[in-house]
Amino acid sequence: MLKNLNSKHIQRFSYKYLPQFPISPNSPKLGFSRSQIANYRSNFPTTIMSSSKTIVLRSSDGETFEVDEAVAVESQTIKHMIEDGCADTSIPLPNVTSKILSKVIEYCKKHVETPNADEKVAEEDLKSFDADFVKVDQSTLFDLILAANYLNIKSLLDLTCQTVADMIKGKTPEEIRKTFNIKNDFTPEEEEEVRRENAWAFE
Amino acid sequence: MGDDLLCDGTVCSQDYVFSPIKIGAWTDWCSMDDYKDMGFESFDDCLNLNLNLSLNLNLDLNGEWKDDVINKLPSDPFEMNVSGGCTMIRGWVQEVDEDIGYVQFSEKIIGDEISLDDANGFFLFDEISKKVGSLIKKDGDEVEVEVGEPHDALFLALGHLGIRDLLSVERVCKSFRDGVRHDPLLWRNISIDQPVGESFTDDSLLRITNRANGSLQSLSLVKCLKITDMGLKHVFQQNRGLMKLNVVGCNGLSMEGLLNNIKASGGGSIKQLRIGGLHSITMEQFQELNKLLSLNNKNKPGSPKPRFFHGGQLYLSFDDNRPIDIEACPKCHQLRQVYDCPAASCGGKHNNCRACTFCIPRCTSCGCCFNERDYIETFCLDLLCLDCLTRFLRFPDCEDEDISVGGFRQRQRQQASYHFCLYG
Repeated sequence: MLKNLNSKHIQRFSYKYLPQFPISPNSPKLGFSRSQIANYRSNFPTTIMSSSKTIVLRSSDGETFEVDEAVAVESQTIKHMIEDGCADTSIPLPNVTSKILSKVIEYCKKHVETPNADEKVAEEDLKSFDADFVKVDQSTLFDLILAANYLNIKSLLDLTCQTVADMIKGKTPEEIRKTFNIKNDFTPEEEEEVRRENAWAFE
Repeated sequence: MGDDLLCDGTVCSQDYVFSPIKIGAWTDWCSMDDYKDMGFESFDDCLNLNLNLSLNLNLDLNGEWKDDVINKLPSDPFEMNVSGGCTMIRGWVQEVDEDIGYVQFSEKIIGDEISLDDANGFFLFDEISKKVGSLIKKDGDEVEVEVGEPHDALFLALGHLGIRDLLSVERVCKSFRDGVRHDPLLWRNISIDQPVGESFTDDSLLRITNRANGSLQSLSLVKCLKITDMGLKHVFQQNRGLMKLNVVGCNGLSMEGLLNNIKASGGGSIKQLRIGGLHSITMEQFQELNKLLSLNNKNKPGSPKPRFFHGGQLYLSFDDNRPIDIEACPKCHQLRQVYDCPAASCGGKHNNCRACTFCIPRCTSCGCCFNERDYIETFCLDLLCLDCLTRFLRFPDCEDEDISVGGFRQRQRQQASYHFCLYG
């Protein structure tokens, strides 16, 4: 792969990775597009681009978590941040507390470690992990949903949302209110109107 | 005076329980020898033990105490609507306390096990579920739980619900109602299935489809008898991007109406249509439909995957790539739903064993033909090949749809009795 390095690569490489010399106004701008970065990263041998890089994530309460890059990029948000070059020191996640972040990392680790679920044993192991993962109290579950949404982790979002959906399925409105401690703020007329409009579904 | 020894496990172990001895029998000092064996350390211990026994409390080590007593006591003899037994015990022992004077009911014993942090010690013990809740004495006697607005995360989960649950959620509170009504993403794929479809009118259809704000992509109306061509016309007009339509069992619709609707929306964008073979369709109409659909399906490759008959499936799902679910039967040339054969013996001869169920009867469970195998006819007039029958008989309690044959037509799980007639 080293033979593919030509002067153009070295020129770009020097701008990005060597100490920043004073740059004249005429020098080319340092704005690489995401695809450009991804493209020439893939061309570089691993000695330059370390694949076992760790990323530091900082939760809202200041706690830091060091994770492998492969685990961190399960989150599309973090993946884009890395590609855009924002991951030099640590990635701040102001919407996620340390408690939730540690759970999310645990989930991502498990899903990265498990090979492509082709074997039945691995698939069932993952399924039981997922089932146990969501056995938490409601507020943790909701925080996990919001975190998965913010971090853009589709599988975790689907898992947690499906769990909540299963808690809603088949219940009457009153039961839903009780399950989630929701206040009924309808006036009797409004409530009757909604009930009447949708009565066809419950006959 | 050794108050807490009453409940002390070392003194009152189960070995020492025997018939009550009167407290006042100090004349029996001579029989103190009997007591020696029990290891009493003092007269006080003996007294306490007697008290213990006369109260008929079977005080074991802390663990089994409450179970035993609760089982023996009546739950609500004074009709005070107290759900548990422990309040009774406490009240009762407190009476004893007044009588005797030095029996102190140690709160700690019960408190340790149940770990309540309620200072006044008033608690309810639910016999059935063994759950303990603390009564917070406020002005009312009710436990107060915080209620409020739904959490934001709940709105993200709404996308995983079906129509019926979405409508239930709409009735919960105002924010849910607004969230459900004004989110077009939730209403992109609408599926009205059997038990619900019977009272589904054009108005409801319009109201529901309007929620998609014109972005409706797939509409499935199964056995919605009250839907008319006019209603469907409005849906087409307002949702130009409609790609998949299923109207199996909607007898209020006509083929001309359907054709007109598809044509009127400029050939539209319908890519998949399911009409289920219940409408009487002429060959010309069918060919016109095919033309319209193939116009919209330019990019789709040919050769769809084989389709097998299954009694529980009333209509072809949208997962199958076929534009339309009916075709001309190779044998009778009528426009019907045509099935392939999953049997290994017919596998190679793909063309021979393709026909509608009138021409080639099929097993309702696996869909194979009966050319080279025996079959039986069930009580519901379904046909079962012997392999499926053996499977069914071996696991009669299995709720799997493949095996529960009775009532395919009504999609109910009935345990029908079987009338065995061997044919073939």
